[in-house]
Amino acid sequence: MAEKTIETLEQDLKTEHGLYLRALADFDNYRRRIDRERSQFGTEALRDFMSELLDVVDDLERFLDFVGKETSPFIDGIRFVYQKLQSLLEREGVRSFESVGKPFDPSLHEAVATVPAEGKTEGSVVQEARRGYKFKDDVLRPARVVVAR
Amino acid sequence: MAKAVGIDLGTTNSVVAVMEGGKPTVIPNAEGSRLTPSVVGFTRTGERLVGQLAKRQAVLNPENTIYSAKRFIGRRYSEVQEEIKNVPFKVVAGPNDAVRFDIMGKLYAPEEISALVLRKLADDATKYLGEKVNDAVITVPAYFNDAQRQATKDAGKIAGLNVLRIINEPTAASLAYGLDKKKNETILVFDLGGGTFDVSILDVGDGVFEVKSTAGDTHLGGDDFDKRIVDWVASEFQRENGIDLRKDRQALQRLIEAAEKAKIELSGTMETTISLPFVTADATGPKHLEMRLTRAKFDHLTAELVDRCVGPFKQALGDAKLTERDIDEVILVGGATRMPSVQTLVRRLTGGKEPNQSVNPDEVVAVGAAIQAGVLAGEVKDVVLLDVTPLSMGLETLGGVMTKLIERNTTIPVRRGEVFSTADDNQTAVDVHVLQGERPLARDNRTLGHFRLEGIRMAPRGVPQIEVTFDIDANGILTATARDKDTGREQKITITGSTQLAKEEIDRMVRDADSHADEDRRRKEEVEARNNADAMAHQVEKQLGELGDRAPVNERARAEQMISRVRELVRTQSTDVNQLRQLTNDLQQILYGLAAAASQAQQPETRTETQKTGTGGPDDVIDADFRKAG
Repeated sequence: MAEKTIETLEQDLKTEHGLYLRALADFDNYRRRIDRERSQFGTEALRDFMSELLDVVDDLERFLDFVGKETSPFIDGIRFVYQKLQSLLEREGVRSFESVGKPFDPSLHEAVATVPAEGKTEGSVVQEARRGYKFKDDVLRPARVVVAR
Repeated sequence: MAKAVGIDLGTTNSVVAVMEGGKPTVIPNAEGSRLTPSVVGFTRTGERLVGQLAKRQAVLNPENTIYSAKRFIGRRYSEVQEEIKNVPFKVVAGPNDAVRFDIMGKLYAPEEISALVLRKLADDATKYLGEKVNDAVITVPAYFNDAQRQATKDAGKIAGLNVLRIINEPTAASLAYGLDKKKNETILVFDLGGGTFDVSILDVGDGVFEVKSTAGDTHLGGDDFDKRIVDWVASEFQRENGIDLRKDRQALQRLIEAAEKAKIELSGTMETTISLPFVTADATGPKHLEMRLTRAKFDHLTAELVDRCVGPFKQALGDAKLTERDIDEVILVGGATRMPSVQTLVRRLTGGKEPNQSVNPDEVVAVGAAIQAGVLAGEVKDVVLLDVTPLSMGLETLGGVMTKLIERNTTIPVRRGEVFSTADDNQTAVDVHVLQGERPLARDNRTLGHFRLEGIRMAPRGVPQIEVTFDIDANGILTATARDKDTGREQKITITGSTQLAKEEIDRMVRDADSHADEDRRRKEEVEARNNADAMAHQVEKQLGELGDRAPVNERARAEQMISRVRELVRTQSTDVNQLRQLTNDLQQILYGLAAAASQAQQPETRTETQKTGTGGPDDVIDADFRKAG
């Protein structure tokens, strides 16, 4: 009888210890995944912020496009602000990429309109409505493009 | 072993989720997004694009880009004449009046298009999980008929998936909230997505769901709300500047994006600004768009859309022969239910019932499908369900403050401890007042029990070290222990049922804490101001005692006057925080002065410890409201 009890208890202990180790392992795995996710979240939050910032960069570019080659101490000042912003973005790994003249590629481009090809290669990008940017090797936001057809 | 996933195959977007470590997790697609557009594009070069990439080339290739396949799946060609008018791709009649998409002369069935979406989701899930995904649970609207369900199942088969089960979207949403455990309840699921609106009423009992009724509007969703903003902004702009932005494709695109952003922001704030500098230009120069949109204005612009939800809601109730009082649970599904005006409407229509919305409404259907997949694949069976404490637990400390030892939503079993000390000199006993709740002050929370630890050796306040430990076992039984580190004396209390509060009670306590947050913060500040002033008065008093007649006479008189003022304010529970802080500062200055006087007057061998403050010392001793014995 006593032996039987010891046997059962040893068996129980083994099972419980197994569960305990399992819980430890689960927790360890969980911690590792959280660590991984945390670093991802960090990048994701940065990406979200960068793309919002790019909206402001777009606005500045609209201004610079508007004034064209005109110069004045006032406009030059804004140009310097723009350059400063660009170099800051580049330092963080955010770079724009060229689209005009390239073939349309849905992994880089979002088509917003088509125009008659008129001598241009069909399916190539003829105009950029919004610049595309990469963050390191990933597309941060696709370029919005007009495609020849 | 292959994993089973849950897939919400939506009209506009699809989501895939899986059980991971006993919890449902939404899987991001290869592009890093948790929502995958249900769009398939066939390019001239014979490529097939699915999801975001297909959407990006839709403008170039509208006749070969299929979206909303769900509106066509399992239906007769003669039934979908209205839908055909809304899409730019070619829909033709196939054999037996079946629906077919004509893509560059080749005919595709809607289930083949859905299969491509399902295949992408399964492939991306395989990549994410690092193991093959073969088995899936797929959701369909509750109103889908047998043909539509069979066609959805076939789409799964074409995609190479083993479809474990087809379940209703509202059932999946209910599973995500664990409502299958309920006995005989009525659930209302309010699903307002990007482009469709569904209300479903379900009965649940013994883990079985029965759909009592469904109603809806197949062309009402979040996109309509964006459009209202666009129209309003564009007409205001036209009125002021004479330019219609809707005619300028580039400006319109910026406006549509800004409108959606504004809508999302207004779910969290009362006001937002739509700002589009250099949005257009005319002969006079550039034009900027800068417009304030308040939530009230937005609600006004979209009131008619919100009202369109009322009819189907009432119809669903009527068809189920129920009234609002018969509804036990309400679930919100779809991103558009984040809008405060929609939530207000749901509360109003359900007689003030608080809807379930803790699971992301864009993902709740996929989450429920993943849970069902886990159960069917046998993964979920033996999961030990770890409980959490629904409310925080702690004890009362100096000034009637509740100091939390275990925060709410901590997974149990759990053990937490902290070292406290006495509040008065020569205090020989402490009362431990065990509390449960979220409010900062002890008296606003629920008392779980009291006990007293006696026999503490006489010592100045702040010196004895009393270790208080809360231990909640797997059954939710709380044991609170206080131990005097000096004598080893120990006293404890065991409280059962601390985790078994009714859900309503818990909700009320958490809500109270939220609604009283400002008032509570102020009251806690007052208590802290009194505690700090009292502690400072005590130190100055002690210093004066040690200095004896070496203390400058005028300083002593001033200090004593201030100390008695502090004592008076503490005794009358003064709420004059400014005065208390001023007195604390003044006493601090006096203490510095006295310390300087002491070091000049004294020999180095009897250096006093004037800087040892009671609270937040290096040994982490916290003054506790352990009242004096006897």
